[in-house]
Amino acid sequence: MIGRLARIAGAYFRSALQEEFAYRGDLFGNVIRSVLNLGTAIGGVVVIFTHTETLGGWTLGQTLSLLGIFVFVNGFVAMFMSPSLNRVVEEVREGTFDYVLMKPVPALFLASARRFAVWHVSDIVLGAIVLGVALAGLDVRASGWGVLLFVALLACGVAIVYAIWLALTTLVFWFVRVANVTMIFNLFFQTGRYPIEVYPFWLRQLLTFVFPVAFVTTVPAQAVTGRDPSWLVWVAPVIAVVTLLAATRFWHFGLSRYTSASS
Amino acid sequence: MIRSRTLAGFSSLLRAELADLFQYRIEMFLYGLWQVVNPIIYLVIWSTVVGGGDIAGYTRDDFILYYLVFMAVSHLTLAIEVYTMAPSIQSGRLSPHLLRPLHPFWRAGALNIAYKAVNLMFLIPIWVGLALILRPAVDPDWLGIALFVPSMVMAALISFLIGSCFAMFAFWTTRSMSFWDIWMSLTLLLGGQVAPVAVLPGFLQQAAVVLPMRYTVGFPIEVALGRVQGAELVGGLAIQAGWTVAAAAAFVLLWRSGVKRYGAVGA
Amino acid sequence: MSADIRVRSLVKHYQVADREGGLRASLRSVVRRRHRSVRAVDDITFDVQPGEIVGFLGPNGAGKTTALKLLSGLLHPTSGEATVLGFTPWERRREFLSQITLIMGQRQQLYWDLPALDTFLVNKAVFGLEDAAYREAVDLLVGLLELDEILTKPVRQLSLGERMKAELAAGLLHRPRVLFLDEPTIGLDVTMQQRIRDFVTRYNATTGATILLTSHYMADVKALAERVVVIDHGKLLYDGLLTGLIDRYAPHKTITLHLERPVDRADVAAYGEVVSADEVQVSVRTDKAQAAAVTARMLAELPVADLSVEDPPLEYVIDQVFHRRES
Repeated sequence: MIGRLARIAGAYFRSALQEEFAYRGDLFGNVIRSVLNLGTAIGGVVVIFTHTETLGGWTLGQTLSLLGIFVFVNGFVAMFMSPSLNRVVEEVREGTFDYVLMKPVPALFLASARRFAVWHVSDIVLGAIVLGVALAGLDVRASGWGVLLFVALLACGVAIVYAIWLALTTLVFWFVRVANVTMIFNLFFQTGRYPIEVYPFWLRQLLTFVFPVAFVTTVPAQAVTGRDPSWLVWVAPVIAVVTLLAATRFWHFGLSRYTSASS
Repeated sequence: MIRSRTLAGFSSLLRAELADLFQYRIEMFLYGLWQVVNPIIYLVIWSTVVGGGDIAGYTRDDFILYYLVFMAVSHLTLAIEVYTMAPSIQSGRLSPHLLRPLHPFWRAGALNIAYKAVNLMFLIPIWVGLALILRPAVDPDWLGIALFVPSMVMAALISFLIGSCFAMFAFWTTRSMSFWDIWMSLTLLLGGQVAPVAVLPGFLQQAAVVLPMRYTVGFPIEVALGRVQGAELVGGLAIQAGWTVAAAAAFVLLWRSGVKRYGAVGA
Repeated sequence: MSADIRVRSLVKHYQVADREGGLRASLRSVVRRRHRSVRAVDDITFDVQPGEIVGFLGPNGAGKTTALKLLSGLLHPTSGEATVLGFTPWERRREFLSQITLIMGQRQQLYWDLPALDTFLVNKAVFGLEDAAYREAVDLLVGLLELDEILTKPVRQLSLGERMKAELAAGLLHRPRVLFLDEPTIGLDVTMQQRIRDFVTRYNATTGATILLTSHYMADVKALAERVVVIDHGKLLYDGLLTGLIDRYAPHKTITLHLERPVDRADVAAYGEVVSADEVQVSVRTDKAQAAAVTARMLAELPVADLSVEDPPLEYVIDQVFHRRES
């Protein structure tokens, strides 16, 4: 089963690559775009730090590391998640989602791994570079355990993002016009550009427990920049599993509504 | 200059777009929230950073006020043409509109205004709520408030015209959106979102004063809050007027050559 | 032989939101939406045997598409049963989905910016086709649909008809045994409609696939399906041979005469209802049962140069079906 699904995802990915090559020259434009986006993001952080030493207890280097993680995850989401899930919303509206349901493959799989925005690879690479450079400036010693923890936390963060996005996408089965899931998601995700400690208490709670952005950037950044990791480190895997389970159940519920199996 | 028939056409378009947008009320609410989130992030950050002192003359209250006004102004000067016009240019859905005796961008304008009007319904409660919670001290500058109106109108115009120019890139390239994103990210930094222009370090400030981004968002806010005075105020308004004219010229040029190309390619 | 498609008392009700036009109605709908129940499919029963082509007829909103969606497993019914190839469609079993296809004339699944061949490759992976089976299917479809040049051009550059051909091929790569075709010729020009029809006939002859199709165009139904199922307002009005439909709802023939010289109109009216008449050409409608006798009398009594006897056009028949239902 896994092998078959991997082959299918591979076929879709190849098509995405070909689609990208159909618009030659775009890659260049997109790299410029990524660089400029990153430039203004770094610019923003630097502007803030011209007027202060620390932000919510985070130094410039630490904040830039966090920004690197943000850009990386953002690129990852934009490349692997949002294209497929946004497509679902379009298809439900246009009526072509029926073709997805007609395929002898679980709909959740096709909804999640069908479209890829290949050129966002530049964001992923740039995010990693920023993180690397910022970390080099911080002079933190990375133990094998530390790296492993960081990667695990990052994976949890990405899983949480996927779960949230899937849940938001599922809303389309009720509200056909939930057009721009990207927007709803970014609404909260933007707050992940800065460490959670910056925000007032109530917003911090919201971003930890209701819309858990804290686990996507702040928690992995804590682990990798040598800041004292908070107890959230241990909650991250639990939140990831719970949100994933909840989101997939919600998806199946929404799908059964779409096919009117639930009424 | 604008004939009454055009105006009648425009107002009926406006009504149709309003009715259409009402069906998207959930999205509208979310878009309303979206307008608010980024300013809140920077509001929070700057009020933390500034503490009890001031930065370039902005105290904590000033930052709060600045970003509250920012929410309203950035909404009213929003350009959505890359999302509305570019797709119809690309897919060829523009063709029927070219046959009507009304410039297609009247429709874009109607959609723009309808969008803002509908969205305002959702934005105002959020905005009032925030203002009541944050309660910044206000020391009104009446000249600034009076001049805010023309500055605001020019900002919305520049924004609409430039947004339309980016949308018209779709006549030549399939992804005008990329260009638009570049523009938007520059606007974040230089337009007054990341920080009020006065707070930016020297060279960025100088760039912001000359480039058009500030005149689509930040400048009207500065005018309203009395942050620019005397020669700076007059000069700023002059630059803004200049950018309005330049944007209009670019709009006309792009439209002419774009339509020519559209006809030639038969998209 | 057991039926490929078996439908028993199938019922599907929908809740739909009502909304009037205009700004005020829009504002009102913010507060409150009105719902009403629609019986899209109302107690339908029929069978389709292996290899059969059945035309599904009915006006817009009659419930044709809903019925197709039920049978292809996209919708759960409100009540009733159906099996397709022995499967209950809405269980959506992999084995079931691998053996059927649904092709909707107005909705496309091809990648817009890529050649159709790339969508084919994706479908190959999705359906887990072996290389040999895939190549065989492509060869067959390329032959039947004359696809050679079409497959390597980006889909956005194809004409509507070419795109439909490619859509058909993409939906048939996995060699489905049951085809649900929803308006496969919609929006196409007459020649292209003809080609698509030819294809469906030949595909059916070559593969023995069972086909259930809906169409607006009577020519489609006439050319493709011997048997038709007529529904309106969700109810089944007729199920049987196309010729039977004509017998039942429009049981007459139109006799057209070419005369050697003009004849008094009253003389012609004696043979039946005059549909049209000019100097030397007259059309008369008579009961089907009497058509032969009337024709013989005409030949004997009138100066006939040439004569033809025709069934009424199918559009007219269908019109009669729905008209009769309403009155």
